[in-house]
Amino acid sequence: MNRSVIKTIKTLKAIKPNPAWSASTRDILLSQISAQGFEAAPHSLLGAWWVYTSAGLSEVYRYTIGLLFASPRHAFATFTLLFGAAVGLTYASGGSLPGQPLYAIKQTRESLQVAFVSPDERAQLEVDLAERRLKELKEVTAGSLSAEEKTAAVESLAQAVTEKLYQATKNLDTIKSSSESKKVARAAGAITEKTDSAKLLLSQADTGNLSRAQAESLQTVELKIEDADRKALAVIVEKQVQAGISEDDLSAQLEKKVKATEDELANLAKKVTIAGASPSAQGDTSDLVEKSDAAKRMLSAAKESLGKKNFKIALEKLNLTRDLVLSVSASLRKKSGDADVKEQGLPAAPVQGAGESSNTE
Amino acid sequence: MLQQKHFMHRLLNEKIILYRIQKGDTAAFASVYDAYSEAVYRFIYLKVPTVQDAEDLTAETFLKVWHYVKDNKKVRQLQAFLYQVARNVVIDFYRRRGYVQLESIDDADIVIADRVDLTLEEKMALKGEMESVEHALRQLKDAYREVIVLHYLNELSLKEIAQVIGKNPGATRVLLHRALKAVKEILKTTKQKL
Repeated sequence: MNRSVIKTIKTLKAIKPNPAWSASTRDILLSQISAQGFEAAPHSLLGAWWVYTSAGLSEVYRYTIGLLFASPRHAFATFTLLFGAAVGLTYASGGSLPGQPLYAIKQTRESLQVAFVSPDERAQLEVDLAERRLKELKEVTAGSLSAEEKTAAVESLAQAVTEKLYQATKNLDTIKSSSESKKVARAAGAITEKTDSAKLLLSQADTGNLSRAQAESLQTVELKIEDADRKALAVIVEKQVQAGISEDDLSAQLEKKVKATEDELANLAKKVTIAGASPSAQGDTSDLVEKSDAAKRMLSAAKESLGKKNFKIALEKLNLTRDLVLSVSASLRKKSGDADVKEQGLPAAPVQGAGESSNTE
Repeated sequence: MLQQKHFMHRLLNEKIILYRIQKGDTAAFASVYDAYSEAVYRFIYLKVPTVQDAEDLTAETFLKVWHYVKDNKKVRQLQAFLYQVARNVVIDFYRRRGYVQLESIDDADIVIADRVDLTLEEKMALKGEMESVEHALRQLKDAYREVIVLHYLNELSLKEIAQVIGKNPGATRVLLHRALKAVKEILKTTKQKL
């Protein structure tokens, strides 16, 4: 009888605040706090360590060591020995990969780094950590792990990258309204630099033998990198004047992105041509040719706007170009995937459009 | 980070968050809001007459927490502190407004989760069940309602609830047992009347 009552009570877990109210309250609270002029005090690593250690240790002592030792002096002696061992292990964990014993220590160390860095630097750190995960992904896919270990590692790394990029863009949103424009622009600039290297690492990962689910996870990662890059660029363009970024500097930054997109488009055009000529290609590729041509025209328009220093419009056109590039890329992957599964006699997977993600937040 | 199930892990993460808030880190505060706003809202919602009141008092709770921590006042455990502030905010609310009989909210914004597995009839039945148990909870005395909400809806352990309400875990267990019994009685009586 109790069970059924408890089950009935638990239906009220569905009581939630209106999402719109929740989001706007969050913004209002953060603005109120910022408007009160609370400046983030500089983080002192030593101060942070002391707070963390003294507060945390008092809890740890109460629940663990206090049960084992006769006096705090004994506990301290043991702790000093353990601390020395912990420092050694922390250094040794640097090169570890998912599934290896020291990987958990590496993750803990990184959590502490995130905790103690200032808010303005956190977005960049999260992207740095995303890049680290991608390097590990590259190593894992190239390494000699068993298929099962590889599957687990790829899935956990893809999830970690997605999470880190999400945190980076969320952090950027938070500091946008509360920090100096220069700092925000600097954080956004750091993110766009890192996303370029992240895209490169992802492209270098050996995805040949991954399952469809894993390939889709990596596609989600690609979309998240794209999302982080766009948000960061939008912030830079928005804050250009307040942050004192010169038109030439901003032009140079956007030109770099335009160039990267141009190279990607050229590469894609080759793949479309090859796919069109391939006997195993699924259906006509004329739609892909059309999209690639549309992307080229849009990119030219973006360059023209950039030449006229219309940065906002140039960025919009660049984003449209990238949508087309991602769409062609996804379709090509699907066509080659379907060609593979056709050989194996399996049903084809649905196409994932540009701008969509298999993991929505 | 704040929603770690493992008690020790969550405790240490709370210490870090509190330190960051003391340093004026708004992102840390935002993470507290993200982690706890839903649970605090639910806790307050079942104590006040209207959705508007629940929303206002939830916002007030978080603002008070920010000021308290930012002023370097000692907070032992963040989760327990949040609920303690929420309780006090509700008490102040009733002090300002005078005693108000807590009846069911007619315009209760009970959100049926997007249960695509349920038919329309099943959704209506679920909504009826939820309204009936909400009505039952609102008839309970506040101490009983609190422990029911904290334990069964917000998934706090008895130890954590004890910290919120200022009792020992043993007394909390007894309180919860009595609260559950009271809910059963009300539900039984309601069913008999229908």
